This record gives sequence, structure tokens and C-alpha cells, in this order.
Amino acid sequence: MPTRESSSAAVWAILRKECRSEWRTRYGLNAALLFAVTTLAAVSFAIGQLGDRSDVLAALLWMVILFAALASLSHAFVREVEGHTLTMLRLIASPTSIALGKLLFNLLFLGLIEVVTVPLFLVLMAAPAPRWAPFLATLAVGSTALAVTSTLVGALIAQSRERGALFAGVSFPLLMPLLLAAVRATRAQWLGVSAAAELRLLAAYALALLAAGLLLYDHLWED
Amino acid sequence: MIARWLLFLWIAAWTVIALLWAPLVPLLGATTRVLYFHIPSAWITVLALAWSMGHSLAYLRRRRIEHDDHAAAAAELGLVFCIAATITGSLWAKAMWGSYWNWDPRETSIFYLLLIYGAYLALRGSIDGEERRARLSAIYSAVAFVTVPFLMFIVPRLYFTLHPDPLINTHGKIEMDPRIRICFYAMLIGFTGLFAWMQSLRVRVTRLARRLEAAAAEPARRAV
Amino acid sequence: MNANFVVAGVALLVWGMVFFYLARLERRVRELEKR
Repeated sequence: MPTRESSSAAVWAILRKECRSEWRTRYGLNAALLFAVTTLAAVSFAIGQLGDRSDVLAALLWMVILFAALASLSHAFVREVEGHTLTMLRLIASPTSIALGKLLFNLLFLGLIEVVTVPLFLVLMAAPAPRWAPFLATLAVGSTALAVTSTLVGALIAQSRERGALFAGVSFPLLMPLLLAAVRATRAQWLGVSAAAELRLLAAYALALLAAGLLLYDHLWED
Repeated sequence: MIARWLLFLWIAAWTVIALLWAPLVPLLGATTRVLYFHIPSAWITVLALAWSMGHSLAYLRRRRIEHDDHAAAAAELGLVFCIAATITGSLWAKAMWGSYWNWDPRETSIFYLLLIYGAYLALRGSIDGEERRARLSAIYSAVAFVTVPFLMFIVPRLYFTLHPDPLINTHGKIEMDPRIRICFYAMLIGFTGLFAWMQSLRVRVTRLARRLEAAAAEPARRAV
Repeated sequence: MNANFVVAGVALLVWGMVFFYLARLERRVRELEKR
């Protein structure tokens, strides 16, 4: 019986493997970036500059991020299931380690997309200068919560039939509280109001889902 | 069967009493009547969700398929009652405030429940294999369970909502006319009985279907 | 008063239909369970 790598070593190994296989082809990243930029361009083209509408700006920003996540984060597990590599992974790492590795990769992936998309958004929509601390905090915590949820749902639907269509529908109820809080927090920082309550909620949300996921991942791949 | 007849008589009688005897709430006027159907529907939606999620968690712990039967059945029924609550609520909103939908906190919450039910059932529908379907949908149910309290925080009642709170204030005290109150509680009981019956039927049908499938597979097994 | 009677009548009709549908289901399920 091959020995299981220690948990953190396994997590790093999986993260490195994901990064390497993604970097080799870069299809996923390119597609996701293209999707995000296209969405942004469509929004900007249709609506124009919205410097004075912080409510709409906050909502649009998170919708672009949401769409990018929904379009790209579902694939993390589908590749494994289709390539039948999941069984091999499970021989060398615990389900939790696999999940954490995938989560860290998804986080990195989402972060990369946002690094390109968010500045572009601020420029194209002529958004007012954000208060950087709360703005970046909201992005960071909100994206983490988004990645945690997407990884979990991705793992679930990788074993189902209708993966593409299902991912958005199954994720959305779980993402709704997160979306509302993130939009409110982003809007608050433009209005000069404190976003502390929403940030706390987002952080608690991310932690709660992470904890639930860590408890549940063991049950995900039992066959 | 007698209990079920009594349930029907109970619901029918209290419906008539509520419609013809109970007074109207001054603020709501003729639309008062909807509350005897709308609020019990919403109550059953939440009850069914709790029942379903409870059985999902039980399934994950004990792995007995009966729990999954209950979880799935309650989810289907919950969806039905949720749609009923949403539609009656929306019609009530239109009659009262002139708009079918406002993303008022309670409307948002019921929509959220609609989404959870829909997602759960869609997920179930896409997974083959009884054990896998039970396990994965139970996991989803458990995760959704974790997110529900957050929605309760994010749609606070801190600001004015169009929803009739003169009836039920935030401390949970019911301040209705006693005649309305008794009809209302009676309808709550009636709806709960109705849900219990429908749930029982649904679970028994699932078990029968499984028995039938097993029986159909018997001759094939014996032939081997 | 009239409108109330109409609503009550419709409601009773609907409940009646629901009940008879469920009662029929119940009877069939019991019959299948006995076999």
C-alpha cells in the first residue's frame, strides 16, 4: 500500500501539478480571460461610463467576476474525472488535501483574472477612485468565498451528467448571500461608508463554507 | 383512512370559517384572506426544507437509504409549497402595493428557498446511481444548510419593509384579532397535516418503485 | 357578502379536488403495498 504524502506536502504537490498542467496549455486561462474581458467590453459598450452610479458599478463589477468564475472554475475536477486521474490522486492524497490543492489553484486562477479585469473595469466604466484598503479587502475576501464555493460545487457536479449547465444553477443559491454582501461592501467604500459589517459577513461565510467543505470532502469520492 | 377524512374536514371547515366569519385586518382589507393560504404555505416550505436537510445529514451519518427517500420527497413537496407561497405572495403584493415583485427581504428569502430547492432537485436529476445520488445531494443539502443563516443576516429587517409586520412584530408576538388568530393557527395545523400525508405518500411511492425494480431484476439474477 | 361566498365555494372545490386526488393515490399505494 503506497504511503500517503503528508497533508501539506500533498496540497502543495497538487497545487504545483495544477499550475503546471494549466500553464502548459493555458487554454483554460486564456478562455477565462477572454470571457471576462468580453463580458466587460459588452457591459461597457452597452452602458457607457457610470462614474456617478456607485450602486450599479458595484453590482456590475461583481457580476463580471461572478460570470468569469462560473465559466472557468467548474473545470478543476471535470478534467480529473474525464481523464480518470482522480483515482490515482486519491491513492496518494487524502480527499481533503486534493480539495485544498484545487481550492488554492482556483483562488490563484480567479486572482489572475481579477488582476486583469478589475483595473480594466475601473478604467472603462470611469469609476471613481476606490478606497483601496476596503476595496481590495472586499475583492480578496469575496473572491476567496467564491473560490471555496466553486471548488465544492465543481467537485459535486464533476460526477453528474450535465456539468456545464448545472454548475451555474447549483452554485447560485450558495453564492447569493456572498454576492449581496460583496456588492454592498463595494458600494459602501465608494460612498465613504464603513463596509465592516459586510466584510465580517463575507469572511465568516468563506470560513463557514471552507469548514463545511473540509468536513464533507471525505464523502465526495467514495467510489 | 379516517384520519385523512378528518384532515379534509378540518381544512375545509376552517377555510369556510376563515373566509366567512373571521374579520379583515384593517391595513390589508379584502386581501386579508390570502394570509390563511400564503403564510401556511411559506411555513410548510421552511418545514419541508428543515425535514429534507435533517434527513440529508442523517443519511451522511448513517447511510440508510430511507433518509435519502425522505430528503428527496420533502424537497419535491417543499418546492411545490414554495411555488405556492411565492405566487400567492406575489399576487398579494400586487393587490396591496401595486407591484408583483420588489426584492423586499421576505420576497428575496422565498426566492432564495426556491433556488435551493431547484438546485437540489436539478442536481439529483443529473446523477446516476442511487447511492451516489443520495450521497452527493446530501452533501449539497448540508452546504446549503450552512448558507441559510447568512441570508438571514444579509436581508435584515433593519429597514422598512413593505411586508405586513403590523401582524407579527419582530419579537414574534402575534398581535392579531383572536378570531383571525384561531383560524390562522387552524390552517397552520391543517397544512402541516397535509404535508405529513403528502410526504408519507411520496416516500411510500419511492419505496414501491424500488421494490418493483428489485423484483424485476430477480429473474435476471436467478437465471445467472 | 357575495364575493366571500364565491371565494369560499372555489376554495372548497379546490380542496375537494386535492383531497380526492390524494385519497385515490393513498388507496392505490396501499393496494400495491399489500401485494
